[in-house]
This record gives sequence, structure tokens and C-alpha cells, in this order.
Amino acid sequence: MTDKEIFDLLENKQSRERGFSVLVNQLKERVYWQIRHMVLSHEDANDLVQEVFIKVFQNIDSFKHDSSLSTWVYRIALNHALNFLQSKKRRKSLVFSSLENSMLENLKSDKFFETNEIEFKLQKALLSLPNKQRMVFNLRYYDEMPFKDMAQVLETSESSLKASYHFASKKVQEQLLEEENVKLELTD
Amino acid sequence: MENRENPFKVPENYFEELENSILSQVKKNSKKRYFFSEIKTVYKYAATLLLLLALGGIIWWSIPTNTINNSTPQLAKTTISDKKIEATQPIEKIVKEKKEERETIITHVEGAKPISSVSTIQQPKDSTNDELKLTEEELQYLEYYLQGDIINDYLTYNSIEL
Repeated sequence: MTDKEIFDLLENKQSRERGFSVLVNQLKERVYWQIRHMVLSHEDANDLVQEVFIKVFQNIDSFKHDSSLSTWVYRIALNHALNFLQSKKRRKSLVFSSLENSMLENLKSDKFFETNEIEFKLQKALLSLPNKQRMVFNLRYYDEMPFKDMAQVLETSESSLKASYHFASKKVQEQLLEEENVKLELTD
Repeated sequence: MENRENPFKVPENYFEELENSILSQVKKNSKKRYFFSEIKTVYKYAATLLLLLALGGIIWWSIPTNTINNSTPQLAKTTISDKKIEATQPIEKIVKEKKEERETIITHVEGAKPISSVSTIQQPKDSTNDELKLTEEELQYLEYYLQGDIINDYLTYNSIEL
């Protein structure tokens, strides 16, 4: 189903639930992984993905048609994940502990994370990046999202996203080399 | 979806069940939202009303009012002149000054020189009558008061020393 068809279903109050169901079915996996790569924990990602779709349903009337429906939904999802990390960081700062360390600790014992040493080191290196830079890296590295689409989702220019990705991958590489002298090939 | 090797995993059948759990959450949330949005509206109106009442109250109480000193002792049915009385001025002098404004003075002040009677007493500035003629009865009433401590009380109250 195209964006227009889904939106026509959503606009009509009688067919709204059906349209929403189609939208969820189309986007749920992608939205989940985008959030999961940011928050790392399955439980947090599960809660957030549901909150995101609730927000989408409640604000469907405010969709301005300035982008595709999927872009709009991804934007909500990524902002929601960033806000979640910010508030978690604020709470952690009150007890004098670092959010990144606590996320890494949880990752070690997470049954939904493959306890691969290299992957763990990669996540550790990624957690050293600022959240927005990490997001750009995740969208490019894991989702292989084109920079053009990313620019629409994040409402940033393509050039700054390319620069951000370049610096992020360089920093991650340095960190990994520093730890184990392992080379990770990152494609631009 | 994932082209690179994904170290993250999900529970079995997670995505199949995800859609149903999202739809049930959305339904639950839309009912809760409607209820809370109604209460929110009521609170909003109540808060606005309280604020308006509070502002009105503040404006009302801050309006300056004329503070007329009701405790000023009144001499019979006369009104005391608004003219400021010097604290060090002896009462004879005050009375003499008043004499110039009066036709006759009949007031007798205890401890002071007798003065001639007045048939008119000076009116306050805002008075509509230019002269007030006292009857014999009124004068006697006035004399009665003046024989008492009313003058002393007045002078004490206004911090005037003889």
C-alpha cells in the first residue's frame, strides 16, 4: 500500500484503525531496530516502540505532508529515543554514575545480545560518541539508510551527515585499534 | 531488514505479536486520554477563574480610600476647623484667632481667659453654609462640653501642649 492510500484510510475516522494497522505492519520492524540500536536493551526498545506508535496515532491529524509517512514516523521514533536517553542520563547523573557504563553493564548480561567480544567492543566504542552522532552511525552502518533519506528524517543537510558519519567512524576505529589492534572496515 | 550481522536479538514471535500489543495500547490510551483531557479542561477553567478572582481582589484592596479619622472627638454639633493648630500655641491665641472669624464667642475654656461668645462658628472648607448660627440651647450644650475635659482630650489627642 502506498503512503497516499494509507493516509486516506487514516484520514477517515471509520477506516482509521485499519489504516493504522497497515502502517504499524509496514514500519514496526524498522522502527524497532532504529530504537534498539540506540537504547540497546530489548525491554526499553519494546516500551519505546509502543509509545512511538501511540504518539503517531494521536498526532496523525498534525501530519503536514512535508515528507513521506515513513519519514515522519522515523523522525518521531528517533526523537523519542533521544529524549529517553537524555532523561535517563539526567537520572543517572543524580546518583553519580555514567549512563554509558550502566548500559554496557546491562549489555553484558543481556540474553538478547550476542556475547561476541568484537561486537561488545564496537558497542562500547559507539557509546563513547555523542548520541546524535551515534544515531547517524547506526542509521548508516546497520540500516544502510541513504544520506538523502537520512537528511529528511533528521532534518539536517546531507553534507553535515556525511561529515558526522566520517568523524564517527574514524573515532570508533581509533577506539577499537586502541583496545585490541583490530581493524574494522567501514564503508562510506 | 538488517544487512549487516546483527548482534541484537528479539524474543520468538516478537514482531508478530508487536502489532496486536501496539493496537491494544493505542485503544487503551485513547480512552484514558479523553477522560484526562476533560478533567484537564475543567481544571483549566477553574484555574483561570481563581486567577481572575485573585487579581480582582488584589486590585480591590489596593485602591486607596480616604481615611477619615472617625475617632476625632466632636464638639457638640460643631465641626472643628481644618486649620492646623501649632502644638506650642496657647489655647488663648487659638481662640483669639478664631474670634476674628466669628461674630461673637461664647465658649469658656477651663484654665483659659474667658472669651466673648460666638454666634457663628467657622465651617469646614467643604461646607455649603457660610455661617452657622447657634441657638441658646446649642450654646449651652457647647459650654457644657467645654467645661468637661473634651478640649484637653482633643489637645492631647492632637499632641497639642498648652
